[in-house]
Amino acid sequence: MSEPFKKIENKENVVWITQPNEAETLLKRRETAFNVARGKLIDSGGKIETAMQTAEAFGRGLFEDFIKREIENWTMEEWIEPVVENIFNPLGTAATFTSISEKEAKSLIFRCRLHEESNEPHMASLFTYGFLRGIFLSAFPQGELIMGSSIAQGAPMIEFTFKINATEKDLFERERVKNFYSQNVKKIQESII
Amino acid sequence: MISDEFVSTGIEKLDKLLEGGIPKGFTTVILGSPGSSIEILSKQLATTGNVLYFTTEETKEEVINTMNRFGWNPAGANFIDIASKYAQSVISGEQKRVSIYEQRSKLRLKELIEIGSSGVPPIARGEEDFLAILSNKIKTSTFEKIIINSLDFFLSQYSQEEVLRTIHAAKISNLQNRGTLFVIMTKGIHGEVFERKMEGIGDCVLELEVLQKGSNFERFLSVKKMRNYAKKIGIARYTIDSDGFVLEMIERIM
Repeated sequence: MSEPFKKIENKENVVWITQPNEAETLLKRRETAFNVARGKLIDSGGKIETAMQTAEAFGRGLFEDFIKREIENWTMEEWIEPVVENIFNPLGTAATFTSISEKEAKSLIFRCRLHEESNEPHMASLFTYGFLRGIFLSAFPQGELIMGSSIAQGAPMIEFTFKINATEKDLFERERVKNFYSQNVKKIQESII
Repeated sequence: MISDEFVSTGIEKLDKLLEGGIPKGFTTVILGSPGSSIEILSKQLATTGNVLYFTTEETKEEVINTMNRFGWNPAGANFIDIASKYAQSVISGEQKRVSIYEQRSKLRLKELIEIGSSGVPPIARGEEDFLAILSNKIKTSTFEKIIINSLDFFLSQYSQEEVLRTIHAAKISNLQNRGTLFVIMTKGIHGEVFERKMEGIGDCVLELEVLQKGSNFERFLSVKKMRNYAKKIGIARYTIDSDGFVLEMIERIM
């Protein structure tokens, strides 16, 4: 894989680095959706489920507009290249994919403009998880997005694993993430208000 | 006075803006942003007529509580509580997972391998097909008014293509049943292309907007589209008081 990644290789490892190339239209679209998700969280009296669904719907919309092709059974490679080119890079997301295989891919996002600009790390992390999940499940309905560390938890980066076939445990990742942010809903609301 | 060809929205001045309400057989798409009180409008629509109300973000009880708070009678509304069904499916999935783990802890290695080889068990994703529920209920509906609040839920679970196909089928069923179908969705999430497609499906398109003017917020309801009734296109400023939507300053655009 070359573009839209930069491939860095040594004897033992290969990693792929995104090439951020910000596009105002997509940044604006995400900003609008993020504000809608915040607004819906407030309107619903703090229902994390509503904010999560909003983010997922936004991700599915991005998939429809920027990724979707006539592919019956997607492969990780077919999915990941347009996602990095049309979503990660235009959103200015600096990420390193530490592994990409047929079954799963691992990424470390170490720069996310949403986190920098929103000043709401919990809401930004929740939204980022939701919209990436929406993009991923649009191609891999049997898959799951696993969130490792997140900036909202004080980590310097967000760790995601994209799994094409979710295990039993993985299937509850969305609820786990939601529960984590439900516990922090007060922090989210405080940061919004 | 509402003629036999029209259905009242439940808001007198909106009926006036629409010059008699919504024509029977029409599909109305309502777009709004958070802060526009679109969730209040959706409930006020359910205050008149014989109504089938799909609620996806709030439970039936929450909807009824809000209606009671405004002094609206929810008796005419029949609810399909998708919010509760969805929450229940998540809870039951979690319970199944716990029971599978409990069961597995008592199994031998060979039995474990046999279970493992059957692939992913249909638990967390084993929820109901909510889009099929929506489709079936509308197809067989005899209700005067059907309200889907909101499409956002379905768009978080299904592809836009599937949702569009379902709404298109719902529109046809509604036309045949001579009811009125209201589809509510949030603006700014799903992309402009999808919003345009939904506006294309709608016979009537209403949009709620909130504009900041200095330190104040002004809210506007615009009738963006009314098939075969061009002169009904107009805009009205509105506020929300203890009785719900209050439309003021109606302005005709065409």
